[in-house]
Order: sequence, then C-alpha cells, then structure tokens
Amino acid sequence: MAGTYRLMKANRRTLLIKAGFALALVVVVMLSWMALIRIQQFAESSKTVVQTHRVIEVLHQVLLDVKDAESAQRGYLITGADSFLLSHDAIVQRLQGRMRSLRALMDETAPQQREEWPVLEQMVAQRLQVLRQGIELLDKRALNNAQLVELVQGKGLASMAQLHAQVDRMLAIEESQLQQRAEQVEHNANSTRQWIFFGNLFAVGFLGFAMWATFRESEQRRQAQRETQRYTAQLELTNKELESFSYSVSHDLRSPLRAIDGYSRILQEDYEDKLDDEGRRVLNVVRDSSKKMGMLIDDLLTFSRMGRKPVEARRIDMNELVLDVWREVVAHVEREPLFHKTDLPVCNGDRPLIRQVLVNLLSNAVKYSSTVSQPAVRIDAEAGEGEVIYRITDNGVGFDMRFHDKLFGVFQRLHREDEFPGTGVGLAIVKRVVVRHGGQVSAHSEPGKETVFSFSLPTEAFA
Amino acid sequence: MNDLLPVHILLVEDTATDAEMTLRALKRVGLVNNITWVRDGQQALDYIAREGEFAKRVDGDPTLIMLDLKMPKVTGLEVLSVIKGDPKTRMIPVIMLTSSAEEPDIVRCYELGVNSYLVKPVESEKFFEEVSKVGFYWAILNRLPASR
Repeated sequence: MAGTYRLMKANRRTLLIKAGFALALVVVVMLSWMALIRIQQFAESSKTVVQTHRVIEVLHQVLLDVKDAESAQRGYLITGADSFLLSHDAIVQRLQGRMRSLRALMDETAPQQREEWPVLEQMVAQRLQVLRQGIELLDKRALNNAQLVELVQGKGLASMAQLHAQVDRMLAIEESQLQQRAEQVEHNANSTRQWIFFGNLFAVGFLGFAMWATFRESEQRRQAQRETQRYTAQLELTNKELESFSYSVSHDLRSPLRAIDGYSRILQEDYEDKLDDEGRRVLNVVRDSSKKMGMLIDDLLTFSRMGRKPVEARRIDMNELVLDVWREVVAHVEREPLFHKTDLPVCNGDRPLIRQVLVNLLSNAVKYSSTVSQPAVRIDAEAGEGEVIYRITDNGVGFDMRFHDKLFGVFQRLHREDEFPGTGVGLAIVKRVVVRHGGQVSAHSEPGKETVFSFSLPTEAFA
Repeated sequence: MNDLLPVHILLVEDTATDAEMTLRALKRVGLVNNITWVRDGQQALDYIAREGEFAKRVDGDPTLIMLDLKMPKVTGLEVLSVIKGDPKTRMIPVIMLTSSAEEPDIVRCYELGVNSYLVKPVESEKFFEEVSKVGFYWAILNRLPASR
C-alpha cells in the first residue's frame, strides 16, 4: 500500500534530517575549536613581534650610546673638562645596562642572531676599551698633539663603521624575523578566513537541508493524517451502509421466504386429498428449500454482525463458558457424546463472540461425531507465548486434509448436505471472531480417528 | 377468560402474504370474525381515532392490536407511540409482530410501552404455531379492565 512505502521513505528521511543536524553541529564545533586555536597562535605571534621590536629598539640605542660615549670622550680629550668625563662614564654605565638587557632578549631571538651577539658584545667592549685608553693617556699627560689628533680621528672611524655594520646586520635579522612573522600572520588570517567561510557555508548547507527535510517531513505527516482521516471517514460510511444492508436483508428477504413456505403448507393442508405422493414430495422440496434459505440468511447476518460489532475485551472464565455452551449444544441430541474437559485458563475477549465460537466448534464436534458408535468430544488448552491455545477434539468423520484451506471459507463445505446438514458459515464465523481478537485458527484431521480444531487468543489486551 | 368483552383484534400489516398467514393462524384458535385488517399505519391510526375512512365506525375499541414495524407512510413505532401516549388507548395490549430482530428496535418498542414483541419466524409451521398461541393468550386468556 502506498502508505507503507511512504512510511519507509519517511524513516529514511528522519535519518537524513538527524544526520544533517549532526553534521552541522560537528562543523560548527570544529570551526569554533579551530578559531580558538588560531586566536591563541595570533596572541603568541603578537608577543613575539613586540619582543622583536624591543630588540630593534635596544640595538639602535646601543649604537647611539656608543656614539655618545665617543663624543663625550672626544670632548674630554679636547677640552679636558671634567663634565665630559662624567658624561662619558654615565653613558658607559647606561650602555652596559643596555647590553645586559639585550643579552637577556637574545635568548628569545633567532639562532642566527644568537651567533651575532658575541661579535657585537666584543666590538662594543673593544670600542669602550679604546675610549678608556684614550682617557687614561690624557690623564697621564702622555699625549702630544699629533697623537691626540690621531686618537680623535683615524682608527676610531673604522671600528665605528664596523660596529655600525654589525648592528645593521643584527637589525636586518630582526627585520626579516618581523617580515616572516607578518607573512605568517597574513597567511594564517587568510586560511582562517577561508575555513570559517566554507565551514559556515557547509554548516548552513546542512542546516538548510535539515530544515527543508523537516518541513517536508511534517508536510508528509499532515498529508498522511489527512488521508487517514479520509480513509476512516470512508470506512465509517461503508460500515453504515453495511449496517443498513443487513437491516434490510433481515426484513425484506424474510417475508417472501415465509410466504413460500407458508403457502406451500397451506397447499398441503387444504388440498391434501387432491395431491398425490409426487405432488406432496414436490411441495416438500419447495418448503425445505425455503427453510434452507432462511438458515443461510440467518448465518450470513450473524457472520456480518461478527465482523461489525466492536470487540469489548473482558476476562472470560472459559471453564464456566464451555460448560454452559456444552449444555446448550447437547440439549436436543439423541446420543450425547462423551465429554472430557481439562482445566481451562482464562482468556481476554468479547464474551458473546467467544461464546459463538465455542457454540460453532462444539456443535460441529457433536454433529460430525454423531455417526460414530461411541462419539467423544474433548476440550483442552495450552499456554503459549503471550497467548492461550484452546483445542477441541472429536473422534468423528473429520475432513479430507487436502481441502484443508477451504475449511474456514464462507459457504465452503467439505461434506454434502445429505451427509451432514449445515450452511458452511459456522467456521467462517469462528475464524472471523478469532482473527478480530488477534488470534489464529487451525485444524487437523485424521478421518475416523481424531479431528482437532484449535484457536488461539492473546493473553494481552488488544486494540 | 374474557366472557364479557367480545374479542376484537386489529391487525396492522402491510404485507398481504404475512397478513393472510396470520389470519389463518388465528383461525386455528377460533379467532375469525373478530379481526380487522388494516394495511398501513395511517389506516391504523384512523381506525382507532375513528377518523378518515373509519369516521363512521360504530364498534368498540380493539381489545388487542397486532402491529407490524416496517410499514410505509406511518411506521409501527409511530402507531405504537400514539396508542400508548393517549390515556384513552394506552391500556389496549399491543403486540409487535415483525421481521426485525434488531436490538435497537426491540429496545425502542419497550421504551414506548409495548406489551409483547414477537419476531415472525421464517418457517411457516413455527409461524402458525406461535401466532395462534399468542393470539389465544392475548385475545382470550389475557384479562382487561372491564371499564374502558
């Protein structure tokens, strides 16, 4: 049925919806995690950059300090004024402090830089030493004018140039570090941007899909509900039609049937002397046929009523019910069969309906064993998984197992009318009732020996 | 036995064959001349009320009404309702004689105060037997108040 197929697709769609949401969630979580990591990296990067700038700054200052020291020394050499000497000393002190802090910073720099550092250290130390020497010489008044001029100009320039070059080299290294770092940051920023963009795209995509699927799902549900309502309404209508049909059958068909039988009888009574044996026989056929038709109608109506009545499930004491039915079934029987009943478990069911089942099965057992010399009927039960199976056994003529499938069909009989009377609806009624209770029927026969009819009823209450 | 009151049966039945069989059954217990047969609910009401085609009726009220359910124009239920609703006619015994064995119909009739409800058997022998017995019981055995 289309409904079932749609239901299967719906299950798959629910799975897809869940997958969509789950994936979206995963993507969002991943993106957040990645963003956090990147931010962390960026923060660390910034710290390093600040550091590098510091190194650059100090390097510049060292250079300046050396130049200042030199100027101060020259000033002293030229003027001999104490102020210049004091200035020089102060600058040297300051410079040494800066060198110390520079050394500390060196630990964090590139390996290349760390190799350059000793060189710088040495150059600065040398320069300072030379300056110091000059001062000492002046103090000892050991300088003549020519030596003085040479001290002030000459070598000083060359070694200053070297120092400058060294500092420049070191600055270059720091600059390249900055450059590298800047490039990396740029690269990271770009890749982060890309991840976030596409990640969000995916997440939005999954979410969008999940949302669309959800809407479709609820739309399908609503449609299925509408269809169910329509179907139910149709069913109710059909039931009502069936109701009125049975009603008219119960009334309209019976009247003419009664007339056929009745007027044949009147004919028999009033024209008895005018009829010969054949005439009487023919009339009897007419009457029998109409009687038969009456029974068929009754059975058909019962059959339809069994299918329509709502089933009210209650606890049924089967022991009591079976005895009650048996009494009724054997009430007008010439030879009452031997009856054996074991203790029967209770069941859940609609009492009048189950009663009908027992009536039909027990009266069948009696009827079909009536031709046997010692008819015997037995009823017992067996508890199964979530159900109770009741079995009715008789030792009568049974039925041909080859026609086993036809047994429970409407108007299906496995014996001729003159062998055993019946309309062929009894077992159909049994099957209908048992199935409506959620159970099953079955039958097995060894003709002349043993025939068993069984039906199961679930122990749980059913819908 | 109702020695004083003459038996007077009103049979309300639309199906001719059923009516004929009913009359024949009643004949078995000697009830022949005291039966009026009307063919639908409207006629029944007119008869009881002495209206319409029965405006000039001079005989007394029926001592027993045998009533079919399904009839055209005015149904058996409606006739029953009128008879049992009117204090003047409420005491007349009414027997439903109908094909319908449907529970709702039976309930409704008893709610309206029917005296007895019979389902017409399909087998004619049973039919004759039942109707004659019932006729005998209600028309002859059953006592009615003398003053009506």
